[in-house]
Amino acid sequence: MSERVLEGYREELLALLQPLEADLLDLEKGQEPDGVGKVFRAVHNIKSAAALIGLQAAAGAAHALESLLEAMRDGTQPTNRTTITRLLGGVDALRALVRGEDGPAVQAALAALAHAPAEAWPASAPPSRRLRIALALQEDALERALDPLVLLSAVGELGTVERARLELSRLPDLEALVPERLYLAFELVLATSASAQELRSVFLFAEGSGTLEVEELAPAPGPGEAQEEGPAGGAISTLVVPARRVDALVDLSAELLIASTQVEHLRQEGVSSWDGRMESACREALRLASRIQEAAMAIRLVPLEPTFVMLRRFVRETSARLGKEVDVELKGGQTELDRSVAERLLDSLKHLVRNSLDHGIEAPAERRAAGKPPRGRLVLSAREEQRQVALTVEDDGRGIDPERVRATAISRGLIAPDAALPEAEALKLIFEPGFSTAREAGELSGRGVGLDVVRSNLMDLGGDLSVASRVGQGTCLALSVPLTLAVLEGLVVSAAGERLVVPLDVVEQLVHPGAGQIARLPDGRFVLRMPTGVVPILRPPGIEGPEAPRGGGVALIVSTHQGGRAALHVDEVLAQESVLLKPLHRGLRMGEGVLGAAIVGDGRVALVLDVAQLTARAAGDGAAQPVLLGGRVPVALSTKEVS
Amino acid sequence: MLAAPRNCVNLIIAAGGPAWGLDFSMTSHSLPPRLVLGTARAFRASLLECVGRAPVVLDGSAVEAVDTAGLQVLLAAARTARARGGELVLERCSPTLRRVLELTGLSERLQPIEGHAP
Repeated sequence: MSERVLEGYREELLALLQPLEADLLDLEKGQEPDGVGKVFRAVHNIKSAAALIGLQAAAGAAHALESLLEAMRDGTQPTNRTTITRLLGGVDALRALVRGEDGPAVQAALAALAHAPAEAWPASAPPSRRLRIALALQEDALERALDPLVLLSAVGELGTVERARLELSRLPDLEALVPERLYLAFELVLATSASAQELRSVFLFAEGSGTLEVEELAPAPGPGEAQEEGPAGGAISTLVVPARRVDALVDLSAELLIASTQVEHLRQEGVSSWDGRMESACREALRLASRIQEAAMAIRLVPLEPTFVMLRRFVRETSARLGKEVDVELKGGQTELDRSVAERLLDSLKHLVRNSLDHGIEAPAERRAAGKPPRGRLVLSAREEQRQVALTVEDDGRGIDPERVRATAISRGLIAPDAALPEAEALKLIFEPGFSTAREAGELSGRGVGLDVVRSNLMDLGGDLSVASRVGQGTCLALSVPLTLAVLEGLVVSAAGERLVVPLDVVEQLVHPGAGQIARLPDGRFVLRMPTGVVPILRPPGIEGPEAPRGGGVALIVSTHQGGRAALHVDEVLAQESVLLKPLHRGLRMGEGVLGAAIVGDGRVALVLDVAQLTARAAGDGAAQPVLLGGRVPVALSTKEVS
Repeated sequence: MLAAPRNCVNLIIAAGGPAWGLDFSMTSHSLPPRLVLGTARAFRASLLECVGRAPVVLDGSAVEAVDTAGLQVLLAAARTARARGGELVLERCSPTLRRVLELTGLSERLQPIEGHAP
């Protein structure tokens, strides 16, 4: 069998494993009458398929899973947490074998499937701590006889190096290299029983010469428990794509070919570019090209379901380790987003979930004392919202106390002791760098790996993170990420000399308001009088100008899915264009109301408006607020590629 | 097309014995016993001469001491070799060299050279 065909079969087998995992997790919850039978049949299918394509080791693993499931069906093995853990470990082993990997971890997991007495598999006593040590000394360190490799070697003697990593991005070519200068930064994970004192003494002479981070990691998991870095989700070289998406792409390509040929014919006939025929032929070709781009991006869309399954397992293992009892609810697993965004999202979601389980949800005893059900509730939901995917991680735990946040921020020097902050602002402090809990060994400056990192990772993707919370009731973290780098169809408008793009899908109609149509309400809001009623007028973000909109210009009546309606008053509608939406550089966040930026037809940079947010705000709090960065939009916007 | 991220270097480390099966027209060099700050300039100079379009095989059996300066030269040479269309191959790494590769995570990139066993 050719490697390519085999690869396809492997992918199919891997795809079968994901619902299997979900079924095992459901089995643990005990909701299905014939849960064991269902899982058994699924494993049996996988075994046959693996044997058929010659993956004997994988078939063997499936057989081991089958026989444990059989014992569970007969009642000779209980269907409890221990056996489910062994089964999940077996699924991980099976996955590895399908991929062609093997090793001691795989063998250990398979051995655990044997009908050992139903006690927990005795893990080898873990070493006392796992520490992540990152060392980045200053450029002149070598000249001052400080050698990071020597320091790390000393640290390495204090335990076992589990893994290590070099930071090479500053290393130049051999020709440009100055040997006395330090270009490398180092990181390793050490399993050690050494004391903080011993560790500190290694780095004593390096104090003040750079940054040292020491972070304690969770203890190494035993077989069947999920690894920190997660099993599945490694680089996939093939994609499963719905056939209709490929068909759409093929059809559009054919149409584009016809349209381009048309342009070519006209050109050869000597038809000038001013001629209406040439203009419409070119426009058609452009339209098809942009639709092809969209169709191509759509091929990379994957549902969130697999990510959710991984999170379910993560919650299962982490809550057990923390002694918390948690029920997970997942909504919106069928929501799709770009594959690479989904991969990068997983880490952020794990981080937020870990926070929820660690700090949010209380232990059962504390919950009972607070009058809450002993099992905590964690809800993960996703939905598509105008070019973005909005996710929430919500728990019914103890919530975030703004007073404690304030106190912590003061003690970390992030705000002045007498600073008066409204509650919403206080909560946002948890996103400040340096807010996270204290570091270990040494006073060398360290960076907290906390919510600031999660938020900036999300912003790098073109998304954002915000928090809402009620003390004693729970916390909700809201993330957003762009759906894809799809091309947006929009109206390019000018307002006060700036260019803006309004997504076409929200525009209902355009009107030219006369002065008499603009009215001011008693509460200060400006509205537009329409035959159908009155519509609030929005001021687009980033625009300076007179407070009161005058007659003239153009008003775009926009309406959103949520049913909000508003009018966007601008000077002129310039063109309808397909634009490539790019996230704004982190440092230029405009606050609400902006989806991103784009380069429009005349080469200028324009802000793309988030109409849903603007209308929601207009409906909510009265007068259109001035934006955070008032004034002119800087010409050189640094737009960042999301790859 | 995306350029390869800067934070990586291609270093081929031959696991086990000598890299048999290689074309003998490839230049082969013995690494000096001390790859340290004091010898780094000379090390760099000699690597600059031989790194080119042909793969360069470096024999690490004599290496007794490696520090960050020496390591940087080696890694920069690997990067430059790649950029020039060649390759840097490390074989017969001494225990000291192996330890350094372990501490830096480079040993995880072991790519045994296909070849006939001796």
